[in-house]
Amino acid sequence: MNPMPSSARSGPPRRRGIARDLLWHGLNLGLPLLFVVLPILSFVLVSFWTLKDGQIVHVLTLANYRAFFTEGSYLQVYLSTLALSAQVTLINVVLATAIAVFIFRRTPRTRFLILMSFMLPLFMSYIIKIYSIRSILGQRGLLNEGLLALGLIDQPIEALLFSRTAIFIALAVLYLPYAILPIYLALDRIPANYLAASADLGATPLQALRDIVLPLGRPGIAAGAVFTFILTFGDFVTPQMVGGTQGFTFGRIVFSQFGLALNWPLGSALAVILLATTLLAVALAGLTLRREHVR
Amino acid sequence: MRVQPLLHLENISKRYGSVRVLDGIDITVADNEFLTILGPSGSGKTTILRIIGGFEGIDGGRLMFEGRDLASVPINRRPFNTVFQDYALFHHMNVAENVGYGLKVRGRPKAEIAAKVADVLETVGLGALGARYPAQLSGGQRQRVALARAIICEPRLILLDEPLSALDVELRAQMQRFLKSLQRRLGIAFVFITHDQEEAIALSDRIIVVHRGRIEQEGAPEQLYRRPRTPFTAAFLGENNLIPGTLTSAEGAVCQVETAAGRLQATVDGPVPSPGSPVLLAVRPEHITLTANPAPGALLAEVAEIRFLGANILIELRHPALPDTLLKVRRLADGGTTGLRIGQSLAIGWAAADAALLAAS
Amino acid sequence: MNWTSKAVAASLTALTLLASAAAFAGPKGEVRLLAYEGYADPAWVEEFEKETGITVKVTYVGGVDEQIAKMKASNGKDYDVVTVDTASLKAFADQKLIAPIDKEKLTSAKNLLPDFQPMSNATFGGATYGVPWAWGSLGMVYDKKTFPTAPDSWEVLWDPRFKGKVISLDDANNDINFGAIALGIKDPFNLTDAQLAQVKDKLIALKKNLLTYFAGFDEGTTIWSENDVVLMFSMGELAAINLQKKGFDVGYVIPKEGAVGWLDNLTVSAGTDNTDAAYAWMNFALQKKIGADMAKKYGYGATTDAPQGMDYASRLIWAQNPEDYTRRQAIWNEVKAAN
Repeated sequence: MNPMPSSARSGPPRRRGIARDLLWHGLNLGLPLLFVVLPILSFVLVSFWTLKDGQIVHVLTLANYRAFFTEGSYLQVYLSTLALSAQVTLINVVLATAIAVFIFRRTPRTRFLILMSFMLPLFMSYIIKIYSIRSILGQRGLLNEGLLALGLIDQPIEALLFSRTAIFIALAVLYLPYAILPIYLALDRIPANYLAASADLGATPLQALRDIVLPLGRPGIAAGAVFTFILTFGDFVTPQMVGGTQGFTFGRIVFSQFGLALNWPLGSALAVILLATTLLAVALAGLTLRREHVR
Repeated sequence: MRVQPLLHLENISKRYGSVRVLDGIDITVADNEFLTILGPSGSGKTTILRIIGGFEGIDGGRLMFEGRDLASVPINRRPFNTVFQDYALFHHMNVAENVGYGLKVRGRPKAEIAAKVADVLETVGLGALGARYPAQLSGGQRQRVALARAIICEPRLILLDEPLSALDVELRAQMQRFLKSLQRRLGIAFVFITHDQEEAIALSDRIIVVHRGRIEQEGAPEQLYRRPRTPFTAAFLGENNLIPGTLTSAEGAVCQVETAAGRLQATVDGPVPSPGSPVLLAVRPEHITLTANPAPGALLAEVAEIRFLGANILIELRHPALPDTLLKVRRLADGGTTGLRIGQSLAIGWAAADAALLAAS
Repeated sequence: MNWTSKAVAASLTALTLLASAAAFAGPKGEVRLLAYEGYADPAWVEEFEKETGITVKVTYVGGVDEQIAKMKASNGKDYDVVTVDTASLKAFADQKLIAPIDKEKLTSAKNLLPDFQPMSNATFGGATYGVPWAWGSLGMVYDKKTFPTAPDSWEVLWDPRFKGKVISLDDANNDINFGAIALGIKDPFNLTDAQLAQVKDKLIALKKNLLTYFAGFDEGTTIWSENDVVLMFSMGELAAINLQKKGFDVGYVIPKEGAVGWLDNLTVSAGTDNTDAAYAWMNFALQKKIGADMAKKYGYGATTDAPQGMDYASRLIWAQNPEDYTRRQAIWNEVKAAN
């Protein structure tokens, strides 16, 4: 038997409820704050500091941002990376939409299998995938050897690897699953009888695709585009590994500031610009979804 | 010479794997007809509709439209439209876009589409709602949009798959009246699927009762109601008291039936079964007469339950020779419960013309 | 791993811990090394322990930063012998993490090759802080079929005849050193603005001839083996050794302009309380046979035994810290961004 009333030990029930609510709200706000907002704020702060004789000095400056626009080749690399990512995003969204529609048209049982086979690369190590792509595209790679063996070419194609084309192919291949998945999931939510209804009203399969499937898949297509863009824009490994002398992208410039150069302020400023660019991409995607009517 | 039907389902059969879901279905639909296919869930009625619409193939038989085989005609080329059970309105299109969709895919000019949409929306009583989205409409309004969308291309026939099942009672009655009047006004044949026999009786020119993938009986609502030919039809359309017995003799359509409760009379519709065969006698609850002072030799039964149902009273009686059957009697409740009490013994009877004779299955 | 082998492993670990604790208790019981990979081969350790009765405990580090952090954590008290590269020696000495070498105790100094005898690379402020121990270079790898005699100048990398058949290390600091050396600049570690501009142009010019850049030994050899490459500005001797192991007929050469060399030294920790054990290990390591074994196993140049082909130590320019890392990174980025 416990002689002490329970309220004496842990406070009145009402107060305990408030404490629990506070704890929940605290966690809801605190965790994102701790793990997302604070780290971002910290590098935003660093981006305004000054680098003097290789040491960070806590003097506020805009010099790091000015450097982006005026010095060296930062802006030029930024723009060319932007163009590259946009191209990869465009081709991937088209490919992924085609693949997602293809899967969507299968029977429910085969859908899962096909989807999984497209998702399989996600379970493989990133580096292994790049190495495989490289060994396929190399001058003594699978593709060239195959073409040579078939007699289709008599000299290995040199431009396959270590070129802008190679970056394009590698990024597209690596990030395709990230575009397929959201698009397919959006299509999967289309009520089955919408297609029956459109056919019933006289629509050809192509018209149903134009009027029903694509408009309703739009949120997924936007998400797939954003994923592809963000992932390709920030990727500083793939372009370097397959792009040869063309493999220098904006992500690589950011990365290089944190190595021996130890130029954290400039690196942070460039990272802020990278972040702002990706946020802009998200906002643009959001805009295209404005006229979305839920059932 | 017989007039060629608008639509003819000739001896259609359909299987899912080894399960036979339709067997020997033969249905004709005439121009301007309101035809209801009535059956409980799982009877195959929806499959029939899906076959007509082109959403399902067939394993046997033919589907003819004005003498033309529809086998190779894809869904989008079939000359009829469907109102789906949950309407299948496109939620990303507004009412006008939904309704005009059939014309749009046919490549009609925008001005023509707009004019026809306005026209059709007026017809279904939604003139002002063209700019709304389906999510902003009530159930009845969505129903009307689905109808408008189905009729805008002026099909010769529309298919309606339990379109009223999602509506509440009051709205349903209102929509029934609307559907009927719309069908009369447009002169389009309606093929209407339902499991609700009252709805079927209220709306149809003709009803086809489907049970376990076969046609049980077809005919005008009154004919089916008054002269069911099978126990299933008798029990499924309205209430019926079924008393088993043996046919002893017949004079014209009037038959004598030997039952556990004694010799009773019934009228047969169609061929008379041979004497000695097992039969069922079906009497509607409203056709049974009750008498407090029985004449000698009358059929006596004891009141087991009295239920006040508002406009009606339902009296359930038990006959000592028919222990498994509660006889149901329906009376207008204008005089309260008419002083009956449980346990009271009453004489029951009916006119021979009100008792239908069915072959026992 | 099944349960039994786990148990065995656990027991062995426990025994080892007991053994080392016991050894630590003894007067001359243990020597603690802070070293790079390949500097304390198990065979040498076994031989040393048998010879001297002193146990060896090795801690490996991956780079200078990690090494300084470990030393600073205890002011050197956790280690007895530390391998420090020449460029970092002064920083270690300035922070009093290492002690001057007592040449009386270094009985095997006589084993050093003549080039390394003066220990001039490790001598400053009148004291010697390290003994040269292992070295290497950032030289040129060439395909022997294309070049029956080794190319004698870095200029061959710029030769348009080999366009698309040249690969280069991707490392801001070392690439700028390399560019400066190729231009014939005597002190590649302290470049003027004008020299940096020259180097930048030189490296951009090289870009047109390159198939690609690479990072790390593995990537260099992989790219060489999967593509038609005949020349490489390499990360070191190991690049050639790895390719030879894969069956490629390649040579390694230090062109006439020279090449950056690196030289790691054995130093005595300022915090050691077991100086005798420290010198015992250094005297053991500086034997000709140990040097020869290291060259064979790891491809490092030994300071006691000139390995076959590694006769170019005198032509190397020993690495020093550059004038400005940040600046070099910025220039290197511009080189890589150039079209």
